[in-house]
Amino acid sequence: MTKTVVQTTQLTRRYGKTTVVQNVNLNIKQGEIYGFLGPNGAGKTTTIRMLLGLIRPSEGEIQLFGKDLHKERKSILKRVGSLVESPSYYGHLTGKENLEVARRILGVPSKRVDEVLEMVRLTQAAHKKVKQYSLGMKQRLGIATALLGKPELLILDEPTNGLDPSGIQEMREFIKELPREHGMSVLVSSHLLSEIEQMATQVGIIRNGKMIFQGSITSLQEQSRPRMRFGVGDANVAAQLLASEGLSVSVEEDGIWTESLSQQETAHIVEHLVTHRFSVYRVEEVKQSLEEIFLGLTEEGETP
Amino acid sequence: MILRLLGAERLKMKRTWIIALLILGPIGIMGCMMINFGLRGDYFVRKYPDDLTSLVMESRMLLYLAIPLAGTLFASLLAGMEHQGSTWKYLFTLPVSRFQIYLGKAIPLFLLMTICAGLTVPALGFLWVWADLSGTIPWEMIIKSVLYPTLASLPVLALQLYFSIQWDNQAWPLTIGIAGILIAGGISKWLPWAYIRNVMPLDIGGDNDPHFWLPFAICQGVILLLIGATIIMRREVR
Ligand SMILES: Nc1ncnc2c1ncn2[C@@H]1O[C@H](COP(=O)(O)OP(=O)(O)O)[C@@H](O)[C@H]1O
Ligand SMILES: [Mg+2]
Repeated sequence: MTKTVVQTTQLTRRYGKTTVVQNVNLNIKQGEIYGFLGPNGAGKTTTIRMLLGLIRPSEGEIQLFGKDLHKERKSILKRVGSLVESPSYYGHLTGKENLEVARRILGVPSKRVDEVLEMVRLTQAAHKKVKQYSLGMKQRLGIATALLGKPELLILDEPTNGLDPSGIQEMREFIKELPREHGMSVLVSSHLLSEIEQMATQVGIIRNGKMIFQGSITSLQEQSRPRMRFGVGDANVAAQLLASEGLSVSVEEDGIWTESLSQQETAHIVEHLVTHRFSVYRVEEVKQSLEEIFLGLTEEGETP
Repeated sequence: MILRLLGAERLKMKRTWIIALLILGPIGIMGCMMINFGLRGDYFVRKYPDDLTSLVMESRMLLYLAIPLAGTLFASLLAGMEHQGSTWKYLFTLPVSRFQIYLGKAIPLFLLMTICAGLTVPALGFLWVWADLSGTIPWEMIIKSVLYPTLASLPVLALQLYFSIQWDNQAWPLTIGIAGILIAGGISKWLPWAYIRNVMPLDIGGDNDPHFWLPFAICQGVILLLIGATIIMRREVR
């Protein structure tokens, strides 16, 4: 059985009276890339801050590597690398010096600095002052710093924020390699489904502080049942006919839509339409795209 | 662990004003004293009973301003560079206790002040010769009149360090620091800024009494440091 790396139990955080994170049960297994997905303000950063001990939960528990974060903070954090929101750096120092600062505190060997510079492809810019770095380079430096101590768990909060498309692509490829090449588990947050879809093995979707879905990408796809579309001449009249039969249908521009149907139900509808002399020129099953599922999940109940 | 933090802190000071300030401070003090003695040396002969008193009394005025000013600036520079690149949140996710992170700033602050004091001693020795004051250089008295006020500034250092870490806008701790120097000492002898004046190693009357004020200031400094560290340790990190 694979080990659980992150487990939160009913994790809750309030600011004053507003509950920003509510009863979140995060479960991340070893070797996974866990995509933590949710619109801006959903509570991703707040959750991540709690995982790192930067802020305290109002309620609930956090276990990392099977140990209580509150009780064994230091030994746990030794095994975690992180990048929270905007990157942290000393602008007056060079990239290499920034890593050297972190290296001295962590007490890892000097050659590790060159290794991580190489990993994030900053070797060329190693001797430039970080205040002259682009945002993407700062972000990469932040990741290099997070990797310095050879962490078993890497926590990245919106690592592609502010990057250009090629930078995003590069970051994605980079993150994908980590579990395979270095045996790491990764928690990566984003507000973009497309991003998570392309790198994560598991997803957790959070909205208004509540976890509304957790599982594999494929099980997310299975969440939504496909719908049926009937291409029919004179759709409005045909829909009335079907409705009078007690079927729940809706008319859209491109035809009549129903919930997913069994083969018999489908055959029955077609037969019914044809006997009433409607021309049926198309019958198809339409699967929702992940994007639609995600939007459906995150927009549901958005308006009170 | 704390040695590793100090090593990191040393590297962070590269290319900052901290190093310049470390050298310019003592040179500035010497320069001011040279101008002071150059212009008013004859007057001091009449004003004070002997040369030693004039040196100590005139340094006292200057150190009373210079020591807390240096402490305010050093504290602000040490904390400011962490605010600037939002590195506090990074430091606090390292496998190091928060208390050690705090000490990792407090110890460099104190060491910087000690180095400044150490450089000021030969500077005043040089002044003694330059101003042609009578007798051999009174090293013991010079060391005491620099070291005592430096130690007595511990409460000010502890306060400034706390304020500089607490607020990311360094305008606030700087304002407090300067207001303290200009106002606090005049309000009451019990305010930390006054201690720096109260520990002068000569019996000059008034509130001056190093035997009482020096241990008092050191104890208070340590207590304020612990209080500041406790508040920061409990604070949530943005
Ligand atoms: N220090 C704070 N005080 C009050 N509200 C906060 C604070 N930090 C975050 N919030 C609120 O919590 C909610 C979630 O924020 P956040 O976790 O940053 O979301 P995300 O990272 O998913 O975009 C937001 O509505 C935000 O305004
Ligand atoms: Mg966020």
